[in-house]
Amino acid sequence: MSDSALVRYLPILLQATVVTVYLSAMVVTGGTVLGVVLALLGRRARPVGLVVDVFVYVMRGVPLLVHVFAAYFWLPMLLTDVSKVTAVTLAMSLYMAAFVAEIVRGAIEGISRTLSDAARSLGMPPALAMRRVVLPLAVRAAMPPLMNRMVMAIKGTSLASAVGLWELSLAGREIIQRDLAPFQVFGLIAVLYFCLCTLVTHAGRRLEARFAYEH
Amino acid sequence: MSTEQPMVSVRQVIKRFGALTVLDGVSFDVRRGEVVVLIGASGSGKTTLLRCINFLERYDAGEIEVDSQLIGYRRGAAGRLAPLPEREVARQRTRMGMVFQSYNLFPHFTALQNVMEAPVQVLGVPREEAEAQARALLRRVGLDDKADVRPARLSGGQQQRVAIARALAMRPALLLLDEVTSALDPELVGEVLQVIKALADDGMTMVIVTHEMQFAREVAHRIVFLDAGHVVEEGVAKQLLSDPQTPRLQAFLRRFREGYLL
Repeated sequence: MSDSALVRYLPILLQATVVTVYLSAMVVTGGTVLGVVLALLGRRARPVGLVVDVFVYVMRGVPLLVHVFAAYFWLPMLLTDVSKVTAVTLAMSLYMAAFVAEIVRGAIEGISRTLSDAARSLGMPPALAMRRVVLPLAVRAAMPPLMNRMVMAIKGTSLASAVGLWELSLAGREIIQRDLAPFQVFGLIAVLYFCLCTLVTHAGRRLEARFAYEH
Repeated sequence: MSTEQPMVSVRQVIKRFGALTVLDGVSFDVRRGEVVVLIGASGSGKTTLLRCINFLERYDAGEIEVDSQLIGYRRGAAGRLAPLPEREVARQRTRMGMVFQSYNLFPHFTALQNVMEAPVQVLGVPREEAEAQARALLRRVGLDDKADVRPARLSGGQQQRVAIARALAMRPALLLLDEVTSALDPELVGEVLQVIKALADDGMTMVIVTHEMQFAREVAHRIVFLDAGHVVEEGVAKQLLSDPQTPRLQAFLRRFREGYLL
């Protein structure tokens, strides 16, 4: 049985992995982009900044599983034709964005005031100084915690199974219910998630090294 | 006083940080091509004054004009000053270069990129043209062989010379230098002062904050002595240093000679 476990379960699990990879890519991209935008908006004066703050607090303070359920049950009430994937992607992206916003905001504040002084003294308007000097340095500084967050987002996609989105962990559970082989199947799933996360971690390290500058 | 418009005109400028009044009605002029050195003890307001001229610090009252243009404000009805939008202030800053005590080079750019950045991004100079100009400027400060090196690989003196080239790349009408040698090892001070001296000889208008009295004597046309936010004494450099009129400047120079401020 254990010899054939690989042969029997791997093809279907690999198929499910494709879904997990797709979902992860959407969530990581959406969450990162949105998080950076939120970080920049959060620096604005009162009304906008306050809205961002409240959003970040609420998103961070509620478990991802609850967000997934909320999106899955509420979104169709507000909009027609919301697919499962859309609802789940949205919930997970917003959740990740809240954390990314905090990471990036902290990194921006960590960039020395003297550098933005230099940019301003050269006649750069605030947005240009942010885009050319502060943000590139802040993103470099934020890379390690951002990578951390990405890995968590990838593993977090397993919660999509709670609303019946067929991805790696749901595929695994289906097999187990049919064949009662929890050790082999969960073992395989663990290895697949581990490979995904390791891949991303390594890609991130290379990216970090590529853009590194000496202090 | 000549009749021509001064390059910089500072009139009754007041700057407060909370309850602390750092500049308390400061006035002085800088003529075109003139080098004015600001001296004074730490906390006398020299750096703040310099930062007010390019509006890195917002002054609370008074007027600063550079090339007959009011900096940071526009005159509204009944002579009231209304703050300019940041974008307008940014445009005003393109005409003044500033060099900082701590160099403040962009660490993610090479020396060449540091010098090219503002002409390309702010003035819209084509890249090839900006690069040629940047290389010429690096040559002028003696660093053409360091064009592709990041700041972390440069000595303090080299970084400061790149910072000067970066400021010059905007072809400023005025250069503000804020204690540009204070963070340098003594043996590196000379190379930076030499560059500034050459600029002065070329007729660049400069306002310089420095603790290098010997340098001030050599390069300055006039010296302005600040104490506790006031201009206490100003005059022709050599005369003012060798024959100070006010007790406060006399005391300052005496302490200086005795090395308390070094």
